[in-house]
Amino acid sequence: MQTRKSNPITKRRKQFGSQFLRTQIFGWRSVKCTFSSMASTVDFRTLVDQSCRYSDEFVNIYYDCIDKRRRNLTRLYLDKATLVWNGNAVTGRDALSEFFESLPSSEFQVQSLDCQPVHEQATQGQTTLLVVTAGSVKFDGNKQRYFNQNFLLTAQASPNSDQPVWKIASDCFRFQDWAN
Amino acid sequence: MAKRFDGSQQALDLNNIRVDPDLVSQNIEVTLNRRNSMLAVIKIIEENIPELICLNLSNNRLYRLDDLADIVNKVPNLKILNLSHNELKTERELDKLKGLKLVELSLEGNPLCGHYKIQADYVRLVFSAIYCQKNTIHKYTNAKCRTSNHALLPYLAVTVLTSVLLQTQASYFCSEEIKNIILCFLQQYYSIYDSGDRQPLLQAYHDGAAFSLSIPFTLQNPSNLGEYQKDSRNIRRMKDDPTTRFRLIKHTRLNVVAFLNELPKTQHDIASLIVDVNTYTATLLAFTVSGVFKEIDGKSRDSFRAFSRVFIAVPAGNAGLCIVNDELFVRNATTEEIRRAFVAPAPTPSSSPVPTLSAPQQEMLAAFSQKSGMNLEWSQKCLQDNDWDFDRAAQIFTGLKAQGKIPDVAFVK
Repeated sequence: MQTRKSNPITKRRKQFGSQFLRTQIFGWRSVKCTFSSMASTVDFRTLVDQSCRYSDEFVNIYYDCIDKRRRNLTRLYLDKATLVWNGNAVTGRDALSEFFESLPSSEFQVQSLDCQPVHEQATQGQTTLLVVTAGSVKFDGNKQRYFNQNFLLTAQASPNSDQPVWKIASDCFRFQDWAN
Repeated sequence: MAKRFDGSQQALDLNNIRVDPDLVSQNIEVTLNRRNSMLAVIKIIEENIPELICLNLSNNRLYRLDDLADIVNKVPNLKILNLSHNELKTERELDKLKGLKLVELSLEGNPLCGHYKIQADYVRLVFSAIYCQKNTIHKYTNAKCRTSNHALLPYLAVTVLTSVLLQTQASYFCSEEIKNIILCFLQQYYSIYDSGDRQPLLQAYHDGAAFSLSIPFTLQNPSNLGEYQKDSRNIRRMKDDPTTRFRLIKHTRLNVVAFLNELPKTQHDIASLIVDVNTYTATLLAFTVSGVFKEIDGKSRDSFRAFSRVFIAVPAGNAGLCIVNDELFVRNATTEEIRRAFVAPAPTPSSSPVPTLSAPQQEMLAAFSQKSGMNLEWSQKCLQDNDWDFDRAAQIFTGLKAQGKIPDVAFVK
């Protein structure tokens, strides 16, 4: 299908500076495509920049909350959010509330953060971000352990401002050494 | 006794049985802190209700659990045990219940509760004393433990903490159907991924797919993550560089697969993959795969890596998946992970036929194996790679060992 066409494109891209050529290539493609797809390629850069800004903010809020304001943590989750914690599923605000209450106090250190805007086909137009973190955490009474975590955040309209409110639709956490 | 048994819950309530009016009126003395009584009770349980799940022994002045020890074998399904308000003085009593797979244990109102000033110590001791299956304990219900000497200690959070933390499971699939879809997908995906040419993965990705990868960030030099380092995307370190931040996210399936094809060739330990299903809707399935793989070519050949990868997919065709987002986190595998990986066949250093060795070579091999501690296979590889120059091989070996680049399997004899 399009496989053959990829080679000349990638070769060209390697020869020139990325920024300039990128618009060139997508400009060429847009000639063959409709206006909506041209719009979407411009949007992708914006989506990426936005996702970086929002996920950075979110991560600061989340880990601060889980360490210092645990009682408020469930507010960051959607009503029907799911948490999969080392393979255990916790669904719904009440269960989450109970779970976080029973979890001992924590000291998180996020060492790496990556994010992507989630494709709209998966979310039916509901703006969603994938946020991936890794680092170490020390729970009271236990030794420090490394963890991997990822979230799906979805934008909800806020009555107070034109900025969306981000809520966690799903949360997946695992210790790196969970099997020990 | 019958009236104290609840068949629907498989629960037997022997709370303060000594003062039970029925027994007292018939002059039957059941003092559970006496051996005879306890043994008799266990016998009755064994003969009549061996599938007992829940047993309440509170308020029976129990000061030791030796006589209760038989319960481990005779009432194996016991999951809930209430020992509250007895006279247990030390957590070592719980050693005698070793083997019980309890889900709930109540210990409040026992002298042992008051001994420990540090909550965490207490919990650890109790926990280790029981030797219960780490994966099955859900909670301790000794929420409050009062003694005259110590203030109310908020045990609940602490005790549940340990159990919650230790409660890890393998894969979480929310349904059988989803499990099959995912496993089928992963089987196909990784067989292409490990095949040497990842181009066919184009079929797995959506036109507008996005991919990025990240590695652990530590202040120490993480240089031994080889190829992955230059493309690692840690947005916290790129706040002032939105261009790089954008460049490192591969967009559209052509770019994604082209990039994947540039990553080192791998061999994944499929049997050990763990999957957590994050969430799903009619149009989205998000799941996280963790596991271990080995690099099979390039500068980091034979390095073991561990990974955590999030896939977000939309439905495609016949119960198939089409990936729209893919994020890969790679780190070096720990010794434990390496030891557990690829359990079936022992990895061999080279796939080419082993040439027969001359006598001096065999001697050198034996000496090298002895000095380095590596097994013969790996010693031979090291010597071969260095043209049978003993000193050079030794130098290289020492250097690699110091950098931790030699997998543990090399030392397995």
